[in-house]
Amino acid sequence: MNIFTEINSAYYKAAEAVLSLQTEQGEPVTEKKITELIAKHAFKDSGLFIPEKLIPKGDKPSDWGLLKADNAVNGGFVSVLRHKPRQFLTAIQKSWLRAKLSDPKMRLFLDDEQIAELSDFLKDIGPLYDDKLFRRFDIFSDGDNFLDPDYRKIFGLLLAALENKQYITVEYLSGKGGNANVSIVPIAVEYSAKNDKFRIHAVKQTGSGIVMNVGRIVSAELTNETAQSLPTADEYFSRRRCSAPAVVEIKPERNGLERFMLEFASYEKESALDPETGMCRAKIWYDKNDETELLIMLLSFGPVIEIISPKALRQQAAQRALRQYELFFPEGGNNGE
Amino acid sequence: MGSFSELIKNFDKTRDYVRDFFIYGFKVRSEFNRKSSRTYDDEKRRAESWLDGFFRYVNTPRGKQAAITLDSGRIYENPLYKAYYSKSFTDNDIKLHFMITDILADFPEGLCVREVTEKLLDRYGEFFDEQTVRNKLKEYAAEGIYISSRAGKKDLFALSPDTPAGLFEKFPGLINAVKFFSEASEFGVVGNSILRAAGIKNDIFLNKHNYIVHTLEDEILLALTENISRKRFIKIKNFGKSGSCDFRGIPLKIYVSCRTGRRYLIMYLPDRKRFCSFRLDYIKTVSDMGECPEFDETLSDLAKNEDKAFGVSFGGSRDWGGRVKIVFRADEEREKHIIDRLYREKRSGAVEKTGDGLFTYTGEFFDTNEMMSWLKSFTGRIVSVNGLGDYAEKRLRSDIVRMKKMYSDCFPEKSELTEKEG
Repeated sequence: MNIFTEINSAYYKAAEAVLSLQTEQGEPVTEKKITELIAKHAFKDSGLFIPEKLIPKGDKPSDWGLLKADNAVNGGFVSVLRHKPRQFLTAIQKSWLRAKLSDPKMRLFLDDEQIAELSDFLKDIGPLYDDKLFRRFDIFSDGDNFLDPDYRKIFGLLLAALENKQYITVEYLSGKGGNANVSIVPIAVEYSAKNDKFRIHAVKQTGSGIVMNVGRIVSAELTNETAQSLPTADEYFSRRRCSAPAVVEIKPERNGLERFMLEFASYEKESALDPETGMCRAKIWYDKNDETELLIMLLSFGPVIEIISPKALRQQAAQRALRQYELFFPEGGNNGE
Repeated sequence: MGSFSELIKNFDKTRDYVRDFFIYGFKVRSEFNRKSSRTYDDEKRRAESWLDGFFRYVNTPRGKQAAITLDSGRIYENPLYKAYYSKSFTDNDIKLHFMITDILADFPEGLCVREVTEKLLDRYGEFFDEQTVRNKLKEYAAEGIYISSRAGKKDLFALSPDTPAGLFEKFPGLINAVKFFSEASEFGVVGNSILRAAGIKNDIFLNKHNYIVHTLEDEILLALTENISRKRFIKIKNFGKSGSCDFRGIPLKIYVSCRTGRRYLIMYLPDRKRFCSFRLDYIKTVSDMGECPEFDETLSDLAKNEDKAFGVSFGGSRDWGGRVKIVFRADEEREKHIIDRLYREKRSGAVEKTGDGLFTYTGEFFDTNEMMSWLKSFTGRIVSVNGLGDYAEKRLRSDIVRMKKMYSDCFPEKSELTEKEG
């Protein structure tokens, strides 16, 4: 089985879109429409390459031979096919689904009966991989229990609320202890592979944003109220973004630069290397609520990374370094070593 | 030199370049010295096309710096999946793809190779030899698109009845499942291809610790998981920092770091009589070297040793292993989150309360060096460390001294101490 195959080619997809549209409409497609479909289904520069292969010039068939000029409509083209092109569920796709069936998270989306039915549908194909082959050595051990019936039910209700833009009242364990109730409309569902937990990004009735761990939600009930206006996900997340990026300096030692670039690959950042000193200065944009997580990641590099700004973040790093110094050297000097 | 093509035959070069654009966002054209500058230009143009909108250019004194920058925790679809949709093909490939399927749509009972070949000529005026048509039919049967059956001496080919749309109609809940899993780390691109075929896009699920660049290793990952499942010996070509090298051994497991997204092959090397880890992004090729009768025994040896690996190291020539004992400080009432961190982030070994506000982590590890960055994430909490080895312990202490100096402007009242350190 292949992941990298021309069957999935964006060029095939663009050709299929052109042929499908023509078959559906029953009318010839124009070159302009073809160009639009190529732009939608293929790559940025595909408009330079696909038309010359797909569109016949004069009486001469094109290289792909899939379209012919329509005699009745000047500048129009019709498909040589009799049917609208079809999509198939391929062997690798079935095999992938079969592998995912063993993932407990699949049970957040299908009930036990559907799982059994899907297993039966896929019974003739082996799983693409066996999850036992993977060892996630630094995953946190207190991940969500995806098999818990209450968790599954709450997750399903949250998804329904998100899809229908519907308010849902949730009772959750607040960080300060005790339970709290809030009415929210979910904007996005976020999974962290490291935490092995789901979080919900949502908007309260007041319009302010809220993030909550699904595992902390005790109960949930859909209301009949639909949100009239909601921020888009982009608007919501831009409100959560730090006002100024964290600026850090990475020193050219202990392979720090490569380690930093890899570990911070998921962050939006900008970096500049000073070839004279080998120092790299990087700006990191982050979610304000996740500042502590960022601080912990930066501290794990020790003196290889220095937090330059914002001041408050630098101050926090400094305080922790000082506290640690005092633990290691209670007398103040290097005598503790 | 041929002209530029958006399509590629294989991932070899692409993986390296995209990773460099993505990870080393500070390199300029002249520093990509693997191949010609023409190769650089072509690879950059492809990557720009796939990652439209995510490329950023900065003019530096060294030249123009091209980098990919995006907050991957806020994207719904890995843009690098497009790389998987850029496989090159011939004119005949695409003709046969659409035309044979169009023919078979009228013959649910199936057609043999000769009948398909004749109909290609009759319907579309396209002449193909039977061998070419047979190869395509067999290829598509292997891909699960066509179903082959035997009728007397003939192989018949018909269209598979299974479609993504049909599947989602039958299991509506599966749409969200595929949306979710399509962005997960194991072969998410396959899920994305299902959504794409059904004309659906993920618009719900985000991944907080999302390392999108690793999708480019999925072909290698598949070759490895297949060989592990089939209990084979393999040979890998590895391009590490010291150049290219071949390794032969028994592939056993894939270790994944959820913290960095990096993935490693764990392989037993009979020549060295030891388990070794290899980063997937450094592996170029995987070759099947035959059946491995010792597979099960070697895997159970690994299982016996796994708990002593804090990360991916099974020890080296230098003796960095040992039994560690680390004491952390945390206020049980006000700093429960710190204690929770210890319990959930520890690997093997045990955390115990050993005093008022004191928690001790003990465990035995092959390579205590691997603990250092995790340990430093608890800066400000570490009361004592034992068993890390002289070198690591000294380094940890001197790191803290350096950090205190580095941030000395933040606590001027402590300047006296700084001077004492010299």
